[in-house]
Amino acid sequence: MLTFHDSIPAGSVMGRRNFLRAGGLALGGLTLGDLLTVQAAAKAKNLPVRDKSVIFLFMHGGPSQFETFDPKMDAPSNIRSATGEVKTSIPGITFGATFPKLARLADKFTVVRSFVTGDGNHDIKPVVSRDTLKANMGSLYSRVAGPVNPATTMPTNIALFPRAVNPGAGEAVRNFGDLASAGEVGAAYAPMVPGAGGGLQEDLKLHLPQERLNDRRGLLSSLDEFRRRIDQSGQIETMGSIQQQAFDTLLGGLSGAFDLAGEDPRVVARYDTAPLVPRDRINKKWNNHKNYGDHAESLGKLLLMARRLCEQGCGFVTVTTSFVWDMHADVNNATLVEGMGYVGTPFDHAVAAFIEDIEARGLSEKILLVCCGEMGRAPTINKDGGRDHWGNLAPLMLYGGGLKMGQVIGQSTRNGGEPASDIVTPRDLMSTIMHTLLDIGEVRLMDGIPKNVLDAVTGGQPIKGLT
Amino acid sequence: MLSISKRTLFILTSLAPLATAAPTLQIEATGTPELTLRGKDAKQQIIVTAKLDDGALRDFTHKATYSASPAGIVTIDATGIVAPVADGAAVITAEADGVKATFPVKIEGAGTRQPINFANQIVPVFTKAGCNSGGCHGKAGGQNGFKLSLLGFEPGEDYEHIVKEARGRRVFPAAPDNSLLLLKGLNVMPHGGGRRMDAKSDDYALVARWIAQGMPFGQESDPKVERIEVIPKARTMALGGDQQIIVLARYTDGSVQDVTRSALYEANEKSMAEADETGRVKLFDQPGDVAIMVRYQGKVATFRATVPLGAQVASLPPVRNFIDEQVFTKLKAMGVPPSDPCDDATFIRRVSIDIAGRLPSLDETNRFLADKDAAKRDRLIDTLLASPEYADYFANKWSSLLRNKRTEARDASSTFAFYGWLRDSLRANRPYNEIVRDVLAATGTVDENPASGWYRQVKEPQQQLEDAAQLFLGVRMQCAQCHHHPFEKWSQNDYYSFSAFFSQVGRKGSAVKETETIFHRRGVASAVNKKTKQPVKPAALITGPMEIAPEDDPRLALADWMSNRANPFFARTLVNRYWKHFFNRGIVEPEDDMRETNPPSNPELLEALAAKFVESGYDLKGLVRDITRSQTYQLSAVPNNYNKSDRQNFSRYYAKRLTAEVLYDSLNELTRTPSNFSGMPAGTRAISLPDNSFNAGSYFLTVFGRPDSSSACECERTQEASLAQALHLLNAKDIQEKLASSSGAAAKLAADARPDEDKLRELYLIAYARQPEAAELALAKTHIDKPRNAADGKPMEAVAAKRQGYEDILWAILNTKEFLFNH
Repeated sequence: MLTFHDSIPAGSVMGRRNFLRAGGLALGGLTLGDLLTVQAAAKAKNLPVRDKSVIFLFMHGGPSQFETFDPKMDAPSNIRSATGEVKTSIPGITFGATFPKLARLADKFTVVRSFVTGDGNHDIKPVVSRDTLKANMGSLYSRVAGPVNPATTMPTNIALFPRAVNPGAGEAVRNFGDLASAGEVGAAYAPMVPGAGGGLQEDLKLHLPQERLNDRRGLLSSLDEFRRRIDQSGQIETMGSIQQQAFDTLLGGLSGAFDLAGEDPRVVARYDTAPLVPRDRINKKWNNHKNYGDHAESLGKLLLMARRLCEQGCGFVTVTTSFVWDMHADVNNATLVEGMGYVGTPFDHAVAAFIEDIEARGLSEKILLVCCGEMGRAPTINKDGGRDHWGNLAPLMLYGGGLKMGQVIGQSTRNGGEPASDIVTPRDLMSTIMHTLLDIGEVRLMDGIPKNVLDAVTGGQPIKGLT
Repeated sequence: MLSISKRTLFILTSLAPLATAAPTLQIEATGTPELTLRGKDAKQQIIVTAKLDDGALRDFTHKATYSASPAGIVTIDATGIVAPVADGAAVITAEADGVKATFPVKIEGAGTRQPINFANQIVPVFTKAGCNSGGCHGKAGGQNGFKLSLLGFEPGEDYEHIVKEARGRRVFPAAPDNSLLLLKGLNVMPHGGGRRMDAKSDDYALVARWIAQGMPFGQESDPKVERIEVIPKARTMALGGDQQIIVLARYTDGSVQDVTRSALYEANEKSMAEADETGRVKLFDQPGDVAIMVRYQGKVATFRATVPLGAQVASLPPVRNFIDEQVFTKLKAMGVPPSDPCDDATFIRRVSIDIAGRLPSLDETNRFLADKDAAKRDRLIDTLLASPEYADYFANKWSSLLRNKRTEARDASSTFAFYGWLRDSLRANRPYNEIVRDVLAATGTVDENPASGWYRQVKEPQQQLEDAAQLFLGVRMQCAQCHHHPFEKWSQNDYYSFSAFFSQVGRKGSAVKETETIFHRRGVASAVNKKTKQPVKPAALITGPMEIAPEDDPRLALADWMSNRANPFFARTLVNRYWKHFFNRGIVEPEDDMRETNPPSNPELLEALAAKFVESGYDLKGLVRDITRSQTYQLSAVPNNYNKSDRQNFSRYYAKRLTAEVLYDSLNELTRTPSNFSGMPAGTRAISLPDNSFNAGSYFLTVFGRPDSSSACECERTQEASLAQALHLLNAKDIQEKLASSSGAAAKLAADARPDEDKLRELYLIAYARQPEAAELALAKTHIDKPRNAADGKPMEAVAAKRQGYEDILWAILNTKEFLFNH
């Protein structure tokens, strides 16, 4: 980037091609102008993508609406938030007491109190469901935008599990569905899972000594020379330039994007949630204690990595930790009070750090963060101090993306068990996400998108009140 | 362009006696010899056409200088727009290149303004500015609480929304400029859609005046647009040239209005031409035919430009059949000399891939290249058509289009049966119309009647009509479900009438397994038009409503209508689809979007192919034989000095990337490693996989775009190159494993005692069906002989080193464009 600026006189217009090249080469450490690059490249390819990214923080296990964003302190003690409440920056609105940092930032994001996921089953809706053609929601986006961002070579759909930042963490929980599914959309559009292998990521890893690939590259280019008489314009030329880009990617390495070492250590420290819940403070009597540890050790860094990936042209990042929100107070899961300490406190810190960082970087129009789980929790606290599954109401928060922030959308009934205003469904949420990422009107006119994908992407109505 | 400017120079500077006739100029306005403008707001675009001494016509509208006399009657600007000043008569003079033309104009009622009609005048402003487009306020739910009907097809609803909704705050007659509608349009008030209007524009002034007048809707008796027309309709133009066009709206009362600046323009071939919002068409540097679609108020018209290259077509290769006659006639007219015929090596590889979906075997190639028979190409075509791979390859194509999709494991018996039926039908060369009839009018379960497999995935009458129309008739009806098709003449009534053919399709559960029985439910076929809520009878696009007795299956009537020899859609769609299969480009492109506004690049060719196909009794193999036997198909992909920019006249073979399946099979062939699809015998060719379910387990097939049988559109197969594909071929673990396999080609070649040169020749024959050139052979041999060190730095043992050399060669071959493409 530097030499590039040196050689171009001030005030001259940077050619798009050069600009792209600069973007591609400097991939590891790019921060500025990346989204612009993405947009330029998308325009060049006539893709109906908007200059935005979505991070879906999936709170797997089913977070309680009471202890998060809808405490209901007026309700009887067996219903209201077990952790109490904390005042927020919006007068009259309170959150569960483990969310003090988010409470101070409440005017920066929007909470939905009438979100209904429809059932109390542990699955992986809304990220993967019938609505998404049994694919990760990001696969639908990828089907439209292409599996790889043409400008930065960054995969457009990525799923982050704790192992992406912490090799010692447990494996991704797949008992309730695979968040890396491509469902009916097709394997090429499956999310890339850093730290886990799989199609595109496998292909990005060099499987040969670099020297031998260089040798082969030389051989290929001389053998390919011979039959150049065939028309080299159009498809063949495209293939040629993409091949060169692939070599650059392989030899230059996209790996920097997946390595937090390139980030300012102070920023990493600001996000890091590990110090909040040291493993030795987690009670081993809960079978899930390792997962609580993984959650605390990884969540902040995962959100930081998600931000980096978005800056480098990834459109959809799924972030999840290891099924930690299922607070039944049974042999596996902690009580609400204890569990929110293990799980809620790092969530509060990580999401707050993320919001502050995004605000400081001026990216709040560009990145949308969505946080929810597959369901909510029952209004009545069970005898052991936990809450059981509940499909009729669930917490949902959204931040950024150029949507209207600082509001509470919808209301719940007095016992916090049902919506008391217009229901917001996972379909509505998906529609909001797709409208954020894509120019839906243009998508409708696109050729080559299968009907089922088209219907999934363009159907439904975005959540009212967000635009 | 060059010739014109030279000529211009010549006229201006010379008094030379050699000077031939200067161009003559002609002015046109509405197609009549005189222009009459009525009312203060009337305007008219005129065009100035020069007839050059060679007879060619060129647009001089933007080159001419204009004057009008007497003064004070009309104004005319530099772009040729005439506007009234006062009542009276005047003469307009255009001058260019020292020659002049004149045109009489009459002005009436210059002081009076016609009352504004909302539908005729205001709605087009929204359409032009994009307000009512599908991505904005025109989408089903509107945008930010403000909804307009898509492309203004429902002026009544738009009027309600603008004038009455939101307590009337969108318009403010007391101070029109302060109306929300205009403030948003100018982006003075924050507007998600940005600035859509200019405060100085006529459109703005018109809307403001309409608000000032108290938002009249207009009278029931006001004239409506009956049709629009374009002047000129067609032109032969020079590369890089431009042409102003005039768009006239003809109203029900017989009146005519210039709507050039209110219409919307779109080229069917965007790499060839573009039109700006003033109706000025600019060509780029690609020869061929291009149509500019013009839309106004739901009416469409086209301007067609023919852009010859203009080179000498001195000699043409021998004509082999009727296809060549049509193609070569066109090439001569366009001045595009075709490439030379391709050599035998190229031909055997090309035709084997295109007919049988595979590379020719080493043995086939050797025999073919050695064969001295002049008719050997024709014989090869017949051999391929008789091979089971022909049926595999085309069954694979049709299976995807007919949505033979497996979503659950238990669907397998159905998908296998339907695929098997398709394959057998193609193998036996059953007439196409019979195959389609069996699919469309199928009854029974998939077990009893595999042809009913289409109904398994395509469940609703609407899907059935949309798929049938797109697949068999090349007509896209989807849009007409909710609104008048914006590019087409099809209405919602056409849509629902067509769907009525499928209204009596009954389904019931079957005793055996989960399969359903499809049957004809006795009753009068009809459907309800969702817009008018009126029932409609079955009607197939251009036919009137059909009377079908309750006991007759309406689907049979539809199939009969399709197979009628005179059906203008059925045969054309199929021959165009197959043409594209072989030439990588339809005569109409895309191949399943045939409409007046997207004309064929060679109508006579399409006609001839369709006529022959009908004549032959819908003989699919016959069609393939005709196409592949033609000289046109057998032209080289190597361009000559002239035809490189040709993309639609078939002056050479257009190279295409191997499809996912063919590439995968070819790769296995080259590396001598078997495929491994779950549930299928090892070594099963990807081309003969019976359904889409194998995609899920094969990153290779999906990344190279094998379709999932989710739609009736060929476009579901993505042939576009992507970085993910390139990475996979260069670096995938699976492919490295194939190359390094101890039973694979590299290991075998390294152990083979023959000289390396022989083995390399063989590799070239397998991969490219040709011998390597001397330099290639030398290069490859050098690479194999190169000293190699093992990981520990010591020289490698000879066989291991050789094996590594062959792995590299194989890797390089499979990444060459010559291998990846059919050319």
